[in-house]
Order: sequence, then C-alpha cells, then structure tokens
Amino acid sequence: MNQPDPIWITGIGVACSLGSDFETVSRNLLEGRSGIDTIYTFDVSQHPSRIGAAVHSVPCPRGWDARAFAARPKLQQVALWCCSSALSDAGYDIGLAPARVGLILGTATEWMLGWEEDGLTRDDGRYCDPVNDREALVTLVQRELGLCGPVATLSTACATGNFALAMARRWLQLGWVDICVAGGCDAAVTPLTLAGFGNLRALSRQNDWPQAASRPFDKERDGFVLGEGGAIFVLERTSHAKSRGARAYGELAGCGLSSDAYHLVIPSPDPTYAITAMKAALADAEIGPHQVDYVNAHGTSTPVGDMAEAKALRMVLGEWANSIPVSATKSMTGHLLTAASAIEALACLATFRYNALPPTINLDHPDPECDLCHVAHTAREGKTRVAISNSFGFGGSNSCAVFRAA
Amino acid sequence: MDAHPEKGIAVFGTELGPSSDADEASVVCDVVASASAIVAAEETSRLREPLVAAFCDRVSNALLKQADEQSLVTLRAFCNLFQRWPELRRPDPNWGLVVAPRVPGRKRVIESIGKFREQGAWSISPHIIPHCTLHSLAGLLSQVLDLHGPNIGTGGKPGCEGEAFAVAGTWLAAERLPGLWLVLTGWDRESATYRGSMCQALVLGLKSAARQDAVGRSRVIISPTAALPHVPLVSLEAFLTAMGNSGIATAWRLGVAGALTLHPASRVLEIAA
Repeated sequence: MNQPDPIWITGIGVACSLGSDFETVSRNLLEGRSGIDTIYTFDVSQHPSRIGAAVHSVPCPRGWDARAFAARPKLQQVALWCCSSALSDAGYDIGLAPARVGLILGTATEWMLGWEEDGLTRDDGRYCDPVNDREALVTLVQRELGLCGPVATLSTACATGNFALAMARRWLQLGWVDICVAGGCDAAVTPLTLAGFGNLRALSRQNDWPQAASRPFDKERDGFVLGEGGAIFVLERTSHAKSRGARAYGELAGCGLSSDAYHLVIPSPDPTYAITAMKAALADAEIGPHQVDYVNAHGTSTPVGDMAEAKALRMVLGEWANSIPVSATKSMTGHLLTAASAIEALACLATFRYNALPPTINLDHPDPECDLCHVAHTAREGKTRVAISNSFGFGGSNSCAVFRAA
Repeated sequence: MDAHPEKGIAVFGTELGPSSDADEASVVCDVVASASAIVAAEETSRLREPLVAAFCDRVSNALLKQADEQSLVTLRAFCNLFQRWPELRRPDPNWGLVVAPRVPGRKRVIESIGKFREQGAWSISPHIIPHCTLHSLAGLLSQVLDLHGPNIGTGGKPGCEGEAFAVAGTWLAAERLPGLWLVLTGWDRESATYRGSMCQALVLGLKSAARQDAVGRSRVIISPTAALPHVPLVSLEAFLTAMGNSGIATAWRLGVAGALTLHPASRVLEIAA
C-alpha cells in the first residue's frame, strides 16, 4: 500500500522491570542491565523456575488517588499507567483527547489473572464465581481515560504487541480514527502462570544466577524467563501529528503477519511462514533487506525457537545477515508474553533516539546454529534508520514490524 | 422502522441497498458461509471422538483431549458448515481467523487452583496456558484448518463480541485478506460449573463484498466510526437469532463507537431482484 501519510509514533507509556518511562527503560537496555531476579513476592520454592522480571510498583497517573490506584489489580495499573502516560507523552491531557481515539489492548489472560487472585486468597472455596468477574480491561481503560473511539482486546500470544501495532496502523490508514492507542500489557509473574510455563518446560531453570538465565542464541540457553509489564504507543498520521506540532519517536513503516498452522506451542521447524511475515513486513515498508540497520529478534532463549528464528533471519536477510546487527532484549527484560513485542518496539525506537543498539547480554558462547551478526554484551553505537522487530507466539502466530526513523 | 429490545433495530421494508446504509469507513462483507452449534455442558465431552474423526488429518486425540468446551463446540460448528459447503474445507490458505471466545477455561482454572492449593506448583497442567487463553482457540483452528493468514483472539468477555467484527473489518477492508473465519463462542450463562448450561458457537465465513456476488448471501456491514447509541450491543445470542430472521436487517452497536448491520440472505436476494 502506498503511504502518502506515514504513521508516526508520538507517545510512549511503559512499565516493566527496567523502568516506567521511555528514557529510563532505554538507558537500562543500552547499558545492558538485567531486570531479572529471584521472585520474592510469593513462595517459589516448589517451582521449577524461580526467577522472573517482575514489576514491583507501577507509578500512579498524575491527578489520580495514589492509594486507590495501588489497590487495583496489577494488570489494571499497568494498562492505565501505560495508556495514560502514552497519551500525556504525546501531548494529550487525559479526558481532553479528541473523540476519535482508538484503543487496541494486547492481553491474553485478564480473566484468568482475576480468577487466580481470587482463588489464592479466598478460603470459602467460591473462587472463579462469575459474580466476581471483572469488567473487560479495554472497556475499563476506555471509560476511565474518556476515550470514545473503537476498541479491541487482542491476543496472538507472544506476537500480540506487533499485531496491535499493525491493527492500529490499519485503523489510521483506513481513516477509522485520528489517534490510536495500542500495545500490550501483561502481569503474568504469578504462581499459576509460573507453574504452568514451568511445567511446560518452557522456562529457564538457571535459578542460581537469575541475571544470566535469559541467554538468547547462547549455547547454554535453556528456556525463557517470565517477565511482566507493558508498553503502549500513541500512533497518528504524520499530517495529524505535524498539524499539532507533535514530535515523533519513529514511523511504523510496515507489518507482516502469518500463521504456521503447525502446533499450539512449538514453532514450525519449517521457517516458511516466519519468513512470510518478515518479507511481508519489508514489502509493506517498501524496503529491501539491505536497508535494515537493526533486527530486534524474538530471541526468547529457548533451544528450538532461537534456532528457528536464526534460520529464518538468514533466509530473509541473505548475504546481509552477516552484517546486519541483531540483538534479543529479552535477555534483559525477560519475556513479557503479550507485551513482549511492545517492549521490543520501544527498544527499536530507542535506537533512533540514542544512536545505539541494545545488546544481547549473556551471549557468552554463541550457538553456531544461531549464526547471526550479534550485538553481544554491550551496546553498539551507530545511526539507525530502519529497525525491524520479530515476534512469534503460541498458536503459530508470526509477526514482524518495521520501524523507520522519522 | 421497528425497535426490538433484544435484537437491536430491525429495519423493515425500506429500500436499503446492500451497502446503502454504509458510511465511507464501512466495510461491507459477504457472509459466504455460516453455521452454528449449541451443545449442553453434559454433552460436550462426547464431541471429542467424532471431531478427531472429522479432522483426522490435522488433529490428534491428545490435542483435543486438552481442548476446552468452547473449542469443541466451535469445531462442531465447523463440521456443520463443511457439510453444507464442502468446498470451504480448503479455502485460500491465506484466510485469517478472528475468534472471540468468552472467558474460556473457567472450569480448568478452578481445578488448577484447587490442585495448586493442595499439591503445589508441580500439580499445574502444562496444557492450561496453551488451551485456555484468549488466542488458544484461534491458534487451534489455524492448525486444524491449515490456514496461514493471521489468527487472532479478540474480545474475551461477555459483551465484547463487537470487537471481533471491528477486527474482522480491519483485515477485510480493501481486501487485505482474501477472507476470514469469524467465530463467536461462549456459554449461554456463566457459572462455576456450567451445569445445565449450553455452550454455543457461531462461525461466519466473511469476504470483502463484491456487488455481483450478492445474490443469496447474507451481508454484514461493519461501520467502526458510526454512532448508534440507542441500539443494543451486538452479542453472540443476538446475532444467532438475527441470522434466522430472513428478510429482516438488524443493527447493533459494536461498543462505545461503531455499528454493525446484518442483512440476512433473503433480504439481499430481494434487493438483487
């Protein structure tokens, strides 16, 4: 599709283990800091994986009652903080934003988190009773922030953030909204989620050295580390943003989406459909692989997933794979599940702002089966014009987003 | 025009063209196929064996053993659909899936919490996350139907069905996808046990509308920017009812913003004539 009016990202709201604003999270990513630690908010002694990148406190949006805000469920706090701070960052006062503001919230288990909280705290056995079911998060956020446009809750598992951004871009291109608030939020560092993923053998069991446990593309990788938090973006057409003097973090230049149709949990060993998503994203952005300056890999630190992604990247980038820098920021943030690709979109935008690429930490012994041009251990300086972000999820969802410096 | 409290506004006898009530932002879609299934809670487990037989080339006993009731009833609805439209068993492989379950996994989570409280972390099934989240059914269907377009879980709560239509319209507008399956599924009433409840699923095959294809097909008009504050929210139940009301166009709200109009098949036939 021709893009006479490119889609800009003009506001960011974030909450994760590395901070709760763009500058802090970016700085921590570029400094190679890990947000992963032993989980101490509940008893993990019987869990196979006892580490995570938890969010311990979420800032209260300006003008809200701090005590009441802190009493809300964590997922609500994350979503409200991220959406409200993204709008503020874009220059919109909450409640005064124009009417045609869309909201696309990526999240997958909001009701389960409510049930779990209920079930682990009640002693009367009446947990998961429908009378205690919470209002849909997207409805709550829309109402509390006074937004009046179309909304959607989305999930494509770990690829959700990219799908939310892709859909926001479409809504803007189709003229359905003037502004779209989109991204992903999750609050999954909970006993049942940790146990579920742990028993699925998806999580790292390197419990004794938490900050070294997430090691994408390294020979010693043994699974991902559960993270939580969110990243939400304000998107608008360039003409709209310019008309109000807004600054841009970058342009969302293209998106590609596909499905493996292979397995609910395991990525397909045939990289065809991951490649389809990446190629579709590049085509959508009207660029070739040689124009890519940085790849933020999905890179979860699972043995199968990293190898499959490396293979797909080599096939898409061709000879350029030897020189296009790749890093996996999950080595620092952990895996934020439905919010993962949203945080990684932020990492891409940080490369434009700071002229530096975040590293893959813990990449001590690169797996020869994952032979890419890794940015290992420390950030690499350099101007970035185009960054791409891969995300793949359970259910065989593949996604790739292309960001361009504005 | 006649108002109906349950079904939204039913539009009788007006000269509506297939897209004449669509605004500039509307997405007009042909319903190329549709089917539903409604199964009592006590009967859902019996669906597994025939479903494995029906989709034997794509699913195993082990996979469906873990699937929740909404997934099973949705697959039953697809079986019903393919009996009538066998050619759609293998549509364009780039078709997408937009799937709106309603709070899937309640029974599994109740069981899991009970086990966790008694036995600890090791008791939690590794299948609960792959099978009971918002995207689980979309992922399962993409595998079962061998579809490589995007598979998306949306909505997730009662009253959020309108989101599925907004998402479907996003990808059907300007024929971004060649077609997609839109699925709405949920229980007729929520309870901790679902004893005596009915699990229901509706499957719609949607394609961006072409005028010449109108004859004999129902149409939906998705208007994400329209404002119809006085009509009810769309729901699985209301849409199922309206699909059976041939000749009556029905409108709903998608949410705070947006509207949806269904023109059932005979209405479109009448217009085409």
